[in-house]
Amino acid sequence: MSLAKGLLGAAFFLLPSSFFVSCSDFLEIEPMNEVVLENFWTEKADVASVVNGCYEVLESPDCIQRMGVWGELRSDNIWVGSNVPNDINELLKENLLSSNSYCNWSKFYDCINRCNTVIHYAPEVQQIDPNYSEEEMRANIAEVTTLRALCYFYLIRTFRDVPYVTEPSIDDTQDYVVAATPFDQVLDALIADLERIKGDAVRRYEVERYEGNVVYLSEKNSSRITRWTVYTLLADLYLWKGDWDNCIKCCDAVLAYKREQYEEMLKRVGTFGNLALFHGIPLILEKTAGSTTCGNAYTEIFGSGNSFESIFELYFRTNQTQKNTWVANFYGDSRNTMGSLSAASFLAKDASSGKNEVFKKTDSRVYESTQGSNSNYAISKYTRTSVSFTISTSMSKDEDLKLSSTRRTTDYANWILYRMSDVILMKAEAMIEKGTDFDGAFHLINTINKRANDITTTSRSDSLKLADYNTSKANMEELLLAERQREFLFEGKRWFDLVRFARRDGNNTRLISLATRKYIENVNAIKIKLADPNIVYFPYAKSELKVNPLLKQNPAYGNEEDSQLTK
Amino acid sequence: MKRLTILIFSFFNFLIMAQAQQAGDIISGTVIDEFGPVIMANVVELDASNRIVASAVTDMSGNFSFRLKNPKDKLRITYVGYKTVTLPFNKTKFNITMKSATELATVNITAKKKAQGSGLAIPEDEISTARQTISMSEFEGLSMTTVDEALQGRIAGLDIVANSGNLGSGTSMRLRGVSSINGSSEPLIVVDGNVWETNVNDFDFSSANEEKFAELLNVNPEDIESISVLKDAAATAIWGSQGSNGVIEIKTKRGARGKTRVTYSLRVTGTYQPNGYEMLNGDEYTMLLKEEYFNPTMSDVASAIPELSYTPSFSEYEMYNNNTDWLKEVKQVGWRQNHYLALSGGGEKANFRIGAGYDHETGSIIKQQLDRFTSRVNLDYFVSDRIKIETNIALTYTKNKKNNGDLLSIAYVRMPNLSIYEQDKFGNDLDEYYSMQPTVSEQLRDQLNYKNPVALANLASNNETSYNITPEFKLHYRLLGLDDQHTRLDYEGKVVFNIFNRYDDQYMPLSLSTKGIEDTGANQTSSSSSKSLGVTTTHTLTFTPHFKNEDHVLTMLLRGQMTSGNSTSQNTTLWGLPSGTISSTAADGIISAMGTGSSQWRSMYFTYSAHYAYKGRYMADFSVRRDGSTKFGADQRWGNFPAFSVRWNVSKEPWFKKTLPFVSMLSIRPGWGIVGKQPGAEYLYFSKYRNGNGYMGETSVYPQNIQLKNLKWEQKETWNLGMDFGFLNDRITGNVELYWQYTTDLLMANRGLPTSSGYPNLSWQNVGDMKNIGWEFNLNGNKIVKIGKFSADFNVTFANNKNQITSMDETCLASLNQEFDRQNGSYLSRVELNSAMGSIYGFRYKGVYQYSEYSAVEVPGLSGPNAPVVRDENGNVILDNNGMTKPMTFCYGSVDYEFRGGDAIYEDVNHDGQINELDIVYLGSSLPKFTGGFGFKLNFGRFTLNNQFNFRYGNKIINKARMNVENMYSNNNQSRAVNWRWRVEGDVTEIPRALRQMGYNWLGSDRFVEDGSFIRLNYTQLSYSVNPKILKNWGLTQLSLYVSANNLFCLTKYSGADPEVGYGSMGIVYDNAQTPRAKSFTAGVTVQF
Repeated sequence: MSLAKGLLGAAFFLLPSSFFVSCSDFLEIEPMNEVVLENFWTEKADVASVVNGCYEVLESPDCIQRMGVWGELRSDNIWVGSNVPNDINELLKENLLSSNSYCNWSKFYDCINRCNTVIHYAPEVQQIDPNYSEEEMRANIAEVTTLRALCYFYLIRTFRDVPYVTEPSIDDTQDYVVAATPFDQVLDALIADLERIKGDAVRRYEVERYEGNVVYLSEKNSSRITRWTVYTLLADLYLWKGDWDNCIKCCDAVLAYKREQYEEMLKRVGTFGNLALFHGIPLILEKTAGSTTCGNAYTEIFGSGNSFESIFELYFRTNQTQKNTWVANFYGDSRNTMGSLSAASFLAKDASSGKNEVFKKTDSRVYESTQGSNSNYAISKYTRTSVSFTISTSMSKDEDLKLSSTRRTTDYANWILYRMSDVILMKAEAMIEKGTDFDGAFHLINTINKRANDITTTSRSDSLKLADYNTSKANMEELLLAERQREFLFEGKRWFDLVRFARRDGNNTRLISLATRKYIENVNAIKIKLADPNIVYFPYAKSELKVNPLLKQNPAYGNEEDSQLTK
Repeated sequence: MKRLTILIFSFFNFLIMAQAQQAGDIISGTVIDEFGPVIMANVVELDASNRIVASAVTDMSGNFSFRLKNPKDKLRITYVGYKTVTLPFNKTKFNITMKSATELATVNITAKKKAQGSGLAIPEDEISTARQTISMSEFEGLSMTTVDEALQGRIAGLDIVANSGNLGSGTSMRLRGVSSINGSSEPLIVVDGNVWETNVNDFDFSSANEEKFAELLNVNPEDIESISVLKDAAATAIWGSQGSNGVIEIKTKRGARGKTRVTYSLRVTGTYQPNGYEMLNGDEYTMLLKEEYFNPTMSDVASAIPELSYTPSFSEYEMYNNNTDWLKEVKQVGWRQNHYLALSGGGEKANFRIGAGYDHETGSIIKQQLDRFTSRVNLDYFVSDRIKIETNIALTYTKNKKNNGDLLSIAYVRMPNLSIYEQDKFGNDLDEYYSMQPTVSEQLRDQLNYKNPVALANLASNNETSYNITPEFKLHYRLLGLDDQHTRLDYEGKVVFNIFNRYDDQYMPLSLSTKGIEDTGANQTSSSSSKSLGVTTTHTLTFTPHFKNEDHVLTMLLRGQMTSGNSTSQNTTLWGLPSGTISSTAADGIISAMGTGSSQWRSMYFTYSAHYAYKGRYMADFSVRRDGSTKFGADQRWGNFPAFSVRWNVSKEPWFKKTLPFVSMLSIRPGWGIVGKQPGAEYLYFSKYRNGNGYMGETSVYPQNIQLKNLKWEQKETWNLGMDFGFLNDRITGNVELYWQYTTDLLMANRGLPTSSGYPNLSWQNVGDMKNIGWEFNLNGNKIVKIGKFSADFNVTFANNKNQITSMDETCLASLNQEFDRQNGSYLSRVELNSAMGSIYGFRYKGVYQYSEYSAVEVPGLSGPNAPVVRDENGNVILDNNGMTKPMTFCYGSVDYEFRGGDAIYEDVNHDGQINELDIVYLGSSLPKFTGGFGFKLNFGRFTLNNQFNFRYGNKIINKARMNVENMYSNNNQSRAVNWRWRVEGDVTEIPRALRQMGYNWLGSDRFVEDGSFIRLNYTQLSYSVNPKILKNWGLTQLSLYVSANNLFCLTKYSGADPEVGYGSMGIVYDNAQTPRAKSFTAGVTVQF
């Protein structure tokens, strides 16, 4: 009897009825502080937060610093500042090795993967969540498709051929070793993508707010992807592709919208103190109505951010955990006037005395973007919240400017990717390349120049003369490049401009003569180095080559000796 | 129904009652022996399952009486020293005569020594797996604070290395080498069948492994009865994936029936730090630094730093003109007292053992203090012959007052010309500690990070308190037979709780701040706490059928276990507290960090294990374990791990004794088994979404990882061939083990992935295969020499292991191998197919260039042949077109450093006229060729002298510690060796010139790769036990006294403080000047009554 009882007892202990059934359930534990895929992607808000995650990654130091380094560092604009990190120093010396950390592209692909994830799951959410309309879903997809295109665009301009991935990375059954897709193929794919979604993108997120006759622009309209961002990006892509008509068409769409917005606002407020039409294009004035000092355009565009001219800029200003480390570390912050980088001295030297080759002495942009610091010139674009100074044709020294400025006390400067000047100059470039309307192109370029030189009335003559340039395409191109350099100084665009022209020219001649202007020593060696057409692109990171056998190193860097250890 | 049963039952009882005694009757009687009445004899009524239902004790006249519960029960009378009498209740009055047990005829005890452990109880000579057991009685009276210290050098194939000499920092162990690339390689520790583990997975503690092993401290060595080390897969099979790195089973002492014994032992130990590098004094240091600043630019301006210049006009002059030996200031003789009190005993119904220990310890570095209280209560209660209940409760409380910073390492680097205290203008010490001012010359600012170590010890605090409670409840039920003569089926159910709480409190006062008022580390206090609770339930059924033919023995076991647990932790850091006495996080301050964490874990397994023996000669064991893990997805969740082993006791063959009479024992044990291993992280098969920084004030979320659907168990297949032998009637015993381990599906953490996937890596992946081959040898001599009162024992173990990766994905290998970063001080490690891990690569150091300028014939003081010029393969100087020599450079084209006189010479292996990564060669392996130990014990009468050595042979160590004190590259203090540095053209020396932040004088080269072979006298002990005859007069049963010395000497060529350095990643050993193991002397006494 005791045996039977005992056996029963043991059996009871060992085999509760549901014991084996529940074994696997018992071993199923979920993380306590994170949501898992299985419980995610159920509602509209989930999509919205991952879309925000796509923007967020672009603001990460790894991303934003590379936008600056890739787009500008190797150009003639930048020189060493104080406390230069080694990798930056090597880059500035054109001693670029695949072990350089700026060859690492991983954060851009992080963004691409997030975008791919949204594109993959958003339609599923739309099926489940009745509050999530198809229109909203398509707008979200348009938004992230554009961000993805932007990432790829950065990558191909920097590395030429890159792995082109459009599927999200979800589990370890997928094959992640992907060969590089040629530049042109990626470019075409991006254009096709954007052409497909351009109608889905939101025109504007919020309407302007009016208080009396003061307009408050919505920050969202320039810090999230709008249809006008899509058009602007498309214009840029067409410019790299060499499709001038489509480029012009896209630019016109944006300019028309801006004009429309200007008119609409004008109707409400009656008159503007800070905006005016230049050649029919509304732009922010250097000198507001009634003011005697210049610097307003800078203060509005770069100081405050999210200005009327902005098409797309990364938002850092308030309520952000993430700082703009590119500006803070590389240009300067409240404590250090000089960041790791400085302006090449030929850009800023003797500007006020009129001896500078790049800037006329009345050009506001040189004073807004640089700041003398001993014999060097610190980069001051973005580091100031406001600047004001007086310019006149009669000045002869810096003191005549009576420059006063306020430095940014926080490290939260917005970072502009596209603004109206881009659209105007892209259109001008397409017109020049098309070759049918040099005069029209000149007027567009002159629009930008006039604004910067505060030539709003006829009282001062234009600093650019049509007759100097419209004689040949080469002259026009030279003007365009020079104006782009002046306008987009330190905005992460100069090196890409040089590369674009080198691609178009089929040689690096122009790039070499321009980019080497900043060097004092070793110039010839660098010129010889830069002659290789492939050298304008960065090498793939060594760490990437190690794990991706399908990736073949850029031949300009291919001879790097692999260390063979002898035993 | 129930009522009916009772009715029927009562009815039968009624019938029985009619003819015999009935319940409620008074039973009485007298117990006598041949001399008269027996007083205090136990008289009990036992029911059918031998449960005591009523009891009585005889009085002065030997009389007893009690009320009968059930007439079917039996009467049992017991008394110590007498045969037990058992009678049926056939009358109400009994007259019992007890007979002395000593009168019994001699009985041959045939019970064999059974293996102690958590698997099947198998006689030791039938074990077919690789295991080695040490009884703690061998260490009795030794001054061990930890179990691992005791094991060092005693277990073949177990390589134990102390992590550091700091109080409570633990050791790192490798059983049979490294068989995994990532994840823990530490063996599993099992105490009384329970996995000894506090889950510290998700805690913020610096290193979970070190912690876990430091917890071994929490088992008081005095409580331990024996330690077994399970080595091969067949032995560890029942531990499945947990035991894949081997298992160390610890069995604690239990009570035994008999008189209560009280044991008290006291040990007093003095410890001190061995001498490390001799450092420069203040005068030598300032001279070196001035050279360091002068050399790179050859300018006096660069070296004109007021803190180094002894200018009396300098405001801090008195504070910078000293010769402070910081090392001397932070070292001291530490004292340790260990008190231990144990009570053990038992009676008819219960056995008990209660142990309590108190340790108080002060470190060999000032202001370190450790207090530990341990207690362990083991209680066995015999409900009946069939049912036994065990309760074990262990409690450990530890309070460890640590230093808030590594004082010793600060003492090595801090400027020796600084004073400890503020000084007045006459150089007299004032009351305040001196901290370097934030206004110190810019060049010396890095020294601000090294706070005054004496002040740090006295003003800052860093306390760690932990409580560990492990209650265990066990029910043992014998369902069938009670002894060997019957078929047995035993059930054991067990629940173990493991409660672990830990509190850390740190405080750093403003007075130690060297960075001014904005220093977020000033008046900073932080506290963190964590608690965890684990519950393990185990059910075991053991079945041992009895065969009529007793040549066959079979026993088998089925066990199921479930573990679940959770932990939470929180931490708060505040700074800017009001100065004074406040150091609590409850005060108002600026919160700089705050966080909470939580984790949970679960596991489940089933084990089946069987043992069969025929005639005690041929044995076979089989076991299989099914492991369930939370770390894999549904498809890969369960792993099955079988093992099979056989044993042939050759010496038991009838023919053997005649052929080899001097061989008393010989057996051969081949075995095979597979164990699995799981990754070290949870939630891997989920794709997790995490909150990001947000965008424009809105929340953002992003996918954080790639789901691991393919991840599976890492499997280790082991073939083991063991041989046990004994000679001369087992006076010499030993064993040899050969093994081959093949690890497949190696788990690798953070496996590099093309970042085009959006992720830098897969958190884990199965990437390749690895092989470990080795052998172990263990020999013991028991009273090998015996002359009169003198006898001698000895033991020797040694072992060797070789491992190599046999297959791995190309990209995975590539990503494991780092590039040469062209920086001083870095070595390359390589993982290559078919070669061992732990290989060190670097340059070959060839001394120092005597001159900057080359000339074929030496012009003293100007130029000479030993100058940095390019040479061809035959050593001839290469001249360019103009007949000029070419300078030797470092990394021509990128770094382009030109070597000069006084710089280090590296061999230009490929003669390309430059030193670069192509000149890096293999310099040796960190893996030892042999490890092991030996010891001997000499007995003379009641004196015993016990010595134990351990050794490692043939391993290389990267002596980073020496590199740091000889590089002359920073403001850190250097060792006196640099007094032999190159100073002027023509100096012949092995030590390069001083160059601050310049040059390549300390590239990773063989200059700092040293032979780490050593033989250490681990301990030596002389003990004496007082003759029990004398003790009887004092009422004592045991009194022993001893003195011992630990770590008395170490024979080694290694120049560092201690050649025993733990393994780093990829098996490379770096000596980072951790606190070396302290030396100690102990005196102790043990009393028992």
